[in-house]
Amino acid sequence: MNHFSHISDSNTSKAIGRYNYNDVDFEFLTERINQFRSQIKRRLNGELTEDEFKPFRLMNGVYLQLNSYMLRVAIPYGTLSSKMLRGLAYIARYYDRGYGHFTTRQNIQFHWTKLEEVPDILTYLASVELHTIQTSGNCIRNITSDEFAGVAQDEILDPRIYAEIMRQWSTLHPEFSFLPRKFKIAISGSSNDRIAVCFYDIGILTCLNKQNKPVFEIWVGGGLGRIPIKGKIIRNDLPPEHLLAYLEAIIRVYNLHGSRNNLYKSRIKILIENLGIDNYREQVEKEFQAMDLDQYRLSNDIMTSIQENFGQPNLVDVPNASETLKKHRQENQAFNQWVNHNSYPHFHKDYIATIISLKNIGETPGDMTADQMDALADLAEEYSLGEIRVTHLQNLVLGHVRKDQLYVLWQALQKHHLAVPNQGLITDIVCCPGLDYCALANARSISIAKKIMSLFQDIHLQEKIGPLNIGVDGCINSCAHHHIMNIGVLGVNKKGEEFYQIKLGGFSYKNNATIGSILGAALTMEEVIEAIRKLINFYLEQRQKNEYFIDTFNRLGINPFKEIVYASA
Amino acid sequence: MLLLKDGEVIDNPWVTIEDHLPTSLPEYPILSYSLLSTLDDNDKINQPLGVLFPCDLDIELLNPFLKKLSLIALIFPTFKDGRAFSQARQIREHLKFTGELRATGQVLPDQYQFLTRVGFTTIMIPEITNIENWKENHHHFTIGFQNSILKEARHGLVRKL
Ligand code: HEM
Ligand code: SF4
Repeated sequence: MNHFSHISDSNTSKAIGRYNYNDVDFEFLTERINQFRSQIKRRLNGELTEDEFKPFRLMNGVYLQLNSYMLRVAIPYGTLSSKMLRGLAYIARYYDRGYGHFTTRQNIQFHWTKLEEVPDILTYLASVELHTIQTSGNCIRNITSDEFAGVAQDEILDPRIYAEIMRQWSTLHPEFSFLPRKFKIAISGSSNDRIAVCFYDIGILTCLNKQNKPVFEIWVGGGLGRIPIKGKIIRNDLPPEHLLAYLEAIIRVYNLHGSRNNLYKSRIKILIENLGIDNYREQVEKEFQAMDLDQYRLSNDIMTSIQENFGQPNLVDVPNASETLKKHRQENQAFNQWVNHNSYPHFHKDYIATIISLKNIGETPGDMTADQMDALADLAEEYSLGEIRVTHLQNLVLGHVRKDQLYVLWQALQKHHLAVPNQGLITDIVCCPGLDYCALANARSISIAKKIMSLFQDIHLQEKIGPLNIGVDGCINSCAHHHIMNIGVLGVNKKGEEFYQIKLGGFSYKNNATIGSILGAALTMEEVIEAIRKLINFYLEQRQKNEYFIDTFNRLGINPFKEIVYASA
Repeated sequence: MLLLKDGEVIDNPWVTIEDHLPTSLPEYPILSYSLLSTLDDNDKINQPLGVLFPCDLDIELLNPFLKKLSLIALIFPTFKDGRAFSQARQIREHLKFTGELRATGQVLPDQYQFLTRVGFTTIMIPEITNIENWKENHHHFTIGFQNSILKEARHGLVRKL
């Protein structure tokens, strides 16, 4: 690659948008891997029972699945460097079957790994600054963030710095490694919700207070799964310097009082439903007041020590960049279409962010082959300062593309089937692994997603339908967010047969956050596809000017949709 | 059972009393909390005293007895039940207890540094245990990222354990 003219030296030495490891971080990972090696050895020689080994295996991201062991690799705040993505390609190619699966939690899963190879995989991952720590288990999981961090025009502070602080703080936390249940945190540096803030154990947005200082708005007790619940605001004015103290207070109350004898009641959301948010807040404030806040304060020194390990993007002014892009768009209709759907504005007038859809018609949503990973790593280096982001909807983002270079990038992406112009449209389906891989599944989800995608593959039809999201889950755990999608499909088991329930009207983001309503009795796979076709046709007939699917649904209510699907059945 | 301190097995002079109070207490008694709370005048006791405190009660309940207590034992019903980690921390940080803090119940060697970092000083382990594992895990990690009762030297978020 010899296109580094626009990248300064500091950028080539430090990956941008993420924390770069130093000797201490590498040393820590080595200690961790050695510990896991010894745990595997103790399991194999019988010193550890499977029951004792399981939590340690899970805390290293190793699941026992239907076909083999699955390994889940953390992508902290969803940011990858080209080097890391090539590292993932290597794992996919040599330890798996040539592909990986990106998840809604900004992780990647490898579904075909062998337990005895895991320590070697971990060692390799460590060399590219990746790990699997706390990607599973009843502990604080990978911290997710806004895929447009450091790009969005409305950003108040860079959430990735705080996400990194939380990553370090939560890693092998002595007090919080054996919580009642898993614990998920997401953070955005903006007050506009792009992270589904109300559906995390803790969700954090950033606002400006009356003095124009950034403060955190902290949501707690949201979640999906068997009992979907919208979170509540526990505090709307937390000074960022107290973030860790406040998190410890919230989680300590949960650790002490969360249910430990019923798996389905052990998430923080249930505790908060039972106690009431006011009571919970009171307990947290009491704990917070009793803490030695100085010990927890994120001082300027600490902030600097984290920040200086982040590479900074070197954005340059490019004469006529916007005009060049405009010209390219006028000249090429397909390119224009892709830009319409798959781009996002950058705060710098000469740059643009672009969404790489992993929703190819005929392919598994969220899957990426090793060859595609390598290709995208190269393209990211050439056109986006060597940085790639993973979205919470199973797509990728190149954050810093020069507008005048977007056209060339698009041409290159096309060669690798990475330029599908469907972001936010009906074929941009979020889908869990389902019965093809997952031991908890009731039904297949990938097949449903593929069928829906092929039904609507005509891009003009997709455009006519407009923004609409679909989530397909193989069971009620809701890994693909079906509860909070405009259309949710849920696999259920009826006497050993695969059936599917449809949910309508879900919405993921703060202002209109809604858990969808069940449309009616469960259907077979063929019936579900037919039902979705009818629902969409009905919406197209009924919709008024400028309405999206969700607007029409909200205006009409569920009954007419129910009739359309079940009347003729 | 064996008693472990700083990675070494040590003598355990303490005797746990859970059911009912004997007429005279042994030299080093650990009373269950329910027995302790029936002592209406604990000021009269002039000997070392310990308590076995359950994991589902608020540690504030120990406040009235604090001056008399030389030992607090907390309980891990299973190694997956992490409530006592938070209780230990509260006992050290909020109650400012400086005596022996003992982990009882089921704990694994892999949890050793978690235990010491939240303030435990001793651990009860089964006799059949491979002590080498405990020794190895006592100082396995040399790096941590959180505040701890041990107040390790820090640089930024990193602590040298
Ligand atoms: C294949 C192995 C997987 C297993 C065994 C698994 C297991 C689970 C379970 C048991 C829950 C329910 C938690 C609860 O209700 O308390 C859950 C929730 C969730 N999982 Fe998965 N999952 C898997 C894969 C995935 C994938 C592939 C994704 C992303 C596409 C994902 C993302 C999520 C999300 C977003 C939630 C809901 C949020 C919440 O925790 O409330 N998981 N998962
Ligand atoms: S939703 Fe159910 S079937 Fe799908 S991945 Fe999650 S646990 Fe497995």
